Amino acid sequence: MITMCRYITIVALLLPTQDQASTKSAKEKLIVDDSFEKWDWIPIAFGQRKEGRQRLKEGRTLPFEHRGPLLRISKGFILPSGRMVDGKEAFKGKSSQLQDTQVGLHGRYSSIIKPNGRFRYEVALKGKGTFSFRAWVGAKNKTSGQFRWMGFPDLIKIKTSDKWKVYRGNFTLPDLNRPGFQLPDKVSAAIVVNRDDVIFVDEFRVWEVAD
Amino acid sequence: MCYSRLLLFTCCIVLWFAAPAMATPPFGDPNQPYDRIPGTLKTSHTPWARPLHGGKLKGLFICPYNNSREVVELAQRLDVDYTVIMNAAHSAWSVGYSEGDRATPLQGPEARNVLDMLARRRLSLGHRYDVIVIAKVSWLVIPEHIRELILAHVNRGTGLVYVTPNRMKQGWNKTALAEDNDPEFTKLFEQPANDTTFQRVTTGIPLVIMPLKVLRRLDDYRPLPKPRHQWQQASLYISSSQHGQGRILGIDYLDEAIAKRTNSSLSPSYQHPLGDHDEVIYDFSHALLARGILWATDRISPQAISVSISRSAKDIPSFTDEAVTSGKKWRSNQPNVIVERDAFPDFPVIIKVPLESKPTRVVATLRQRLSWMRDNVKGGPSSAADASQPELLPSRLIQQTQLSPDANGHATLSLPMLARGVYLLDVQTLDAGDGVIDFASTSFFVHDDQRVIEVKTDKDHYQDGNAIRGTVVVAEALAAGQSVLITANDTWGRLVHTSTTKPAGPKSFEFEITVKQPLSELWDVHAWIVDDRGVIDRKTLPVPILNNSFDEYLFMLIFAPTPGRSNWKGALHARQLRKYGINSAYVYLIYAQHELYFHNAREHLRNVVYAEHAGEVVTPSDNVRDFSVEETEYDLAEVSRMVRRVAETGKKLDPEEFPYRMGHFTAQWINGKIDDYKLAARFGSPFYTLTGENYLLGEFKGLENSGFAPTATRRFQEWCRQQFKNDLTALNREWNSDFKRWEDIRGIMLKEAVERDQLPRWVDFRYFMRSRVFSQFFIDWTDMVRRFIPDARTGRVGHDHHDFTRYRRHMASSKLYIGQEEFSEWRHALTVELPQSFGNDEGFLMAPQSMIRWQHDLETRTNRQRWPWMVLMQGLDGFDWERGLNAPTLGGEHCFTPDYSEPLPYFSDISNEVLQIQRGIGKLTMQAKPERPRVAMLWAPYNHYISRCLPFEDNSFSGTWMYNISVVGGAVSDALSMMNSIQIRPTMVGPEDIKSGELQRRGFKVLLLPYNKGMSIEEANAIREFADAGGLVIADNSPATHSQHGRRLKKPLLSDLFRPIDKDKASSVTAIGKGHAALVNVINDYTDRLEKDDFHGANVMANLLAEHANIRPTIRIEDSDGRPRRDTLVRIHRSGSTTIVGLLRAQTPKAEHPARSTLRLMEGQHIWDARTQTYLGMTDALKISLDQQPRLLVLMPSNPGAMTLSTSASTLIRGSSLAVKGSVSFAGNADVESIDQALHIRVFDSDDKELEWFRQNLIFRGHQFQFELPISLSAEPGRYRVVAEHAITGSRSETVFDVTEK
Repeated sequence: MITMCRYITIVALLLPTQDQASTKSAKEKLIVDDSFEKWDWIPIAFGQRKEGRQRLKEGRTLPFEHRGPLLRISKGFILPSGRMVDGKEAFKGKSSQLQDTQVGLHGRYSSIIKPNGRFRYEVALKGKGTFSFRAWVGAKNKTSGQFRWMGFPDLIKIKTSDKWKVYRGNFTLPDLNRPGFQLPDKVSAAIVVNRDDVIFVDEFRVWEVAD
Repeated sequence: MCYSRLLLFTCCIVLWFAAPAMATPPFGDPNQPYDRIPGTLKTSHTPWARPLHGGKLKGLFICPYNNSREVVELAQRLDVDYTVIMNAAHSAWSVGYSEGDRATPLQGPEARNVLDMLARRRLSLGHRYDVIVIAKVSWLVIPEHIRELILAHVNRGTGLVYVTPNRMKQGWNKTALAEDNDPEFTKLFEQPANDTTFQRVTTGIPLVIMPLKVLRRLDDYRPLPKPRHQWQQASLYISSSQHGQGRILGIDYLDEAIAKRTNSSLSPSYQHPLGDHDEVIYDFSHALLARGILWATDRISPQAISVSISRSAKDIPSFTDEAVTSGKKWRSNQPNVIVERDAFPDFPVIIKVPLESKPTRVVATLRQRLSWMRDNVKGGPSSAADASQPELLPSRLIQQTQLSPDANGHATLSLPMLARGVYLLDVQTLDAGDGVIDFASTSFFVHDDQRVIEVKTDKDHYQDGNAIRGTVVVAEALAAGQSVLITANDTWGRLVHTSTTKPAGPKSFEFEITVKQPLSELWDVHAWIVDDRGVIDRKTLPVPILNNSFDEYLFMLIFAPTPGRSNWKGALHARQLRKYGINSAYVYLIYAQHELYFHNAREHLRNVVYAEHAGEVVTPSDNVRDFSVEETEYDLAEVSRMVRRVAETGKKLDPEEFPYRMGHFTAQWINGKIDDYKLAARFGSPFYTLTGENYLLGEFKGLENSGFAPTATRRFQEWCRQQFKNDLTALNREWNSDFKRWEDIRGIMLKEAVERDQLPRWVDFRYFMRSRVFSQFFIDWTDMVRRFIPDARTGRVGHDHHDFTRYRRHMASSKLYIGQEEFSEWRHALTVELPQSFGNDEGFLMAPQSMIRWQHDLETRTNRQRWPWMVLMQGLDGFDWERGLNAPTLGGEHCFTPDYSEPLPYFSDISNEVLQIQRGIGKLTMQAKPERPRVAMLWAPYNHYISRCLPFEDNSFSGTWMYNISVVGGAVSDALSMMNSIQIRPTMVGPEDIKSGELQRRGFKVLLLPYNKGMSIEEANAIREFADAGGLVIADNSPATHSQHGRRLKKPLLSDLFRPIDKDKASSVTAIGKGHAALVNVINDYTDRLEKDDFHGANVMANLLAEHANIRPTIRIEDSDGRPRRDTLVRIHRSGSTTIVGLLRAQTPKAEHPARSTLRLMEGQHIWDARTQTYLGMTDALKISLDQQPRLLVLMPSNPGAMTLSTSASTLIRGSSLAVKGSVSFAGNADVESIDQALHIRVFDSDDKELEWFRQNLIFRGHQFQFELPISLSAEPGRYRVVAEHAITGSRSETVFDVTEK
């Protein structure tokens, strides 16, 4: 029995905390660093009003907190970044609650993922549903210059639990090259949370791992 | 997919992605002016070398597109068969200015590829040219392979003339020169020409009178400090070199940095500070270029013509152009050969022509060089003034003589008696075929000690019936036989006055001229000193004759080449476009350019004044400052206070009493404006624009941050005190604040309001700023303007960020941002309705139109035909016409070929409709009153801010991405669309009208509340009373759920009137006293639905109005099933018992096909289609086929028939006035004496040429009319024909009269 427990303990200690083992490399560049500590109020843009109206008509919730004509946004983001939570609900200080939304595609996580790069991440999550960090991969036809989407792979996909937990792992962009198309130097990504899911996120970091 | 489909699919995809990078219309389209140069329009010129001895030259010109007319100008003077490569700019090859993906110029790959293709093709060595001319295009921006082709041509013998050789860096809006040196460039284009070459090119051109500083060395050029001003005169440096077998000549005006602004590509930069295009200087500029080309092609005569004029021995002081002040850095240029007048007549001039060239004929032409003002002296004492002139010759022809040189080539020319002034003597040697072998011109000044020093009048402007009293001051006491005479000519050249003067001293003489029936806004008053030999001297004073009548449909130039501003292009643009209906131009009072009024008057354009561009954005950096902090320095309220002081006192401000400064807004600056307004009062304007796209700080982005400065804060405190009736507790309750004193109250930033939960405070503050500071500022400014320009109407250009409820008698005129997209008459209706309603339909309103983009109104023939009528039907008074070769583009932005020869089809389409409107029906409609049923719609502007606090409501107060500053879109707009759709036009009212009982006083029966979430208790009570007394109140969007400050109420104020309804119910009606209240669910998004042929909700509204208020359309339009049409804008105007009905079917998908419809009237009327002047019958149910064409129907109780005309006399003498009477016969017994009609009147001379000055539209009532024609003192004797055309029916009548001299 004791031997079995030791064995289990040793194995457990050796197992990676998630489905991918995380590694630290000597040279890493921090490309995402979101602690969601500072928030500000900015005007709700016209497009957001239209979209918000449509969402409410469809019975969906708004993905941000608003008061009057302003919405609350985490500093560093240019478009809505969830709802601020603090106190007991938060992981540390303040966190962000995401529901039925995608965050960071324009601005914050724009053009940050190198197609042939290696990346390490760390994120604190809790909630009901799945946290995805999804890439938007498009390429230009080398001859005609025509743009085409190559795919939208999930770089990180985590089913959360109802308690805060820090998840770590690595990812690379899957090979989405097609003949005749030129991928850009870097692609954009966004946090995606589905309609019926409610995810809390904090301390989200991604490093680009140098070879 | 089969191969052909795949290919088609691929082509479509490629075109789809390529489309945004093409011009619209594309190269080759009949509406794309690029690379089109028919060259058929003739302008003022001297045919210096045309025809040319030895035959035509073949020339290739590389010239910017927007100045390519200058090639035609040259070709009028030099016999050259031209080919043109049009590039974008002096400092850009193919990349010129363009705006947006539907820009009219060529851009992107299309621009690059088309220009390259044309350049390669035309420079192919398969062509042989005598000369290539580069028109100031930078050597650096010409692609290398094109430069190589040019030099290859030169190498094998083609001449090259480079006007202003330069190496500006690439960039259409750049003027910086390359820093490095290019030895090849220097060798080719910068080596000084030797003396012989210099002489051959320049001799024969009177450079002394041209505004050019001649340099023999490039190093002698000394630029003035930057920025180089357009008044800075050009220099002249001639370079020459040889390249292979070809000669190269540089005519360097050293003006590359300013040439773009003066539209000068083949001529030197020239912009006299007082404007006007100097046709003489321009002509000589091309003569110089012609000589340069002749040299480069080795066609110039080796020996020069020489003209010798004996100078006066007397020492005569130099003189300056007194009209120009020294501050303008302008040096006037006068001849250095001066001859005393006493030497005339028979003054001998020796002309020597080289006989080696074997001339068959020698012609000498003597011209009087006019001043920079138009010569307008017909009928004056100068006999030369009445001699017939070659139509296009610049200056005044005095005599033309054929000379017979002796064996040595000498000839003597005898000059006649001449008045004091500058003269030009041109000599041409001609071969047997009249080909010009050589030409030369010289200038001289005729001097007399006696001259007119000054002419002045007792006032700076006059009106019909006034007496112009003035004084003439001469240099010396009159000698025996001398006298001082006065004449006056209007801008049509008609002599309107002639008289002697009364001595008021030895050198001073008085005169008086009665202004009677003036036909122009300017009279040139000429003071002449004459003796028995003729005129000694003449001085002219232009005198404004005020005309404040603006009752004709305006078609106005804006941001376009205009007279006095744009060198050669300004007057040409105006003159060409006038033939197509253009009758007015924007005038820049904002830059104190007072001379523009005079220029426009001379070109018969009405002035529309751009007076100010006021607002809190004082410099461009104010658009991008940090709006997150309170602005405490800019205090528009304080500037308002200063302006109000001037309005009250009429006096200038004391800077010590008013030391405040907001950017350029200072007491001194305001005082300067007073002087400007006094001068502006000399001419009329339909309105004065006081602001454009200028705002409160941060307003455009919804980040308002001003209002925290002292005066604004003080006013806000006073306003709050009034609003809350001195109850601080009530304020704190409303605002969630805890102010202890009124003096502590101040505004609040939005973010702080959100954080402190004080949004009502923010709503109040921002509403106060828009209404009581921004709008109040323009009310104050208007009152100030009216101190100096009585009854001036004021307004804005642009967006709707104003409190229109305050603009009843101020700011009710405007240029409105409507049009240029589909469904504009629906989407933008509120932009029009607000100033019309609150301004009582008395403002002057215009619409914008532009050639910058190929937008909806220009896209199709139908749209072009619709536009002018749409403007008229909506109650506007005209529209403007933006741009026209102003900017360096590669094509586009013009309505003519770039040489102004031919109008483009799209412009003709628009112009034809404008000209039709301007033949009387426009004037009749404009003076008619719009029908306004007794339906009011409440527009409470504080709801704009409340709506912004409710970003996800079903429908907002205003929609579109510019909701902060535009009223387009949103619930009020949708409600107006619905009302227009059911053909019941509401009148907008404000909260003050509700509270003061205006609804009842004005007899309204219905009140609409489309978006009135915010409401005061007083308003609510008044509305309740209105319903109780029998009115119908209809609301949507949760009325009165908030206070007027934006605080959500526990219970809506009108919950007793409007009970909640289910979402799937369209309406619910409650009886209230004698009236009713109806809550509806159908207004929101009506505009969107209408655009898709979905009129859901319209019947609900129509039924409510009919059933509970007995309001029905007086004129209904039904479909073929008898159901009301909801897709047609119906606009009804009434003038007497004449009804004008505009019909404009919306361009919905179903409008692709005409629809059989019936127009139902309350009673039978005689109906005319005024657009086609067709009688449609007498009926109360007119069957029509309704397509997308605009229809303007005129309904009359009796039918006008034939007309007759008679005159007060069949023969008149010059200077008298002819009364013309007429009558219209009517069929039927109906009362005709209240029927208003319009006549279009024209007069023709005996050569059947129209005398444009008599052209007019006359509105008359009943069956009789009369008008007067003032016959000028210079009218040609002969028979004249008066033609009157009925504007509605097209019926015509004519009569004739004769004019005799005595």
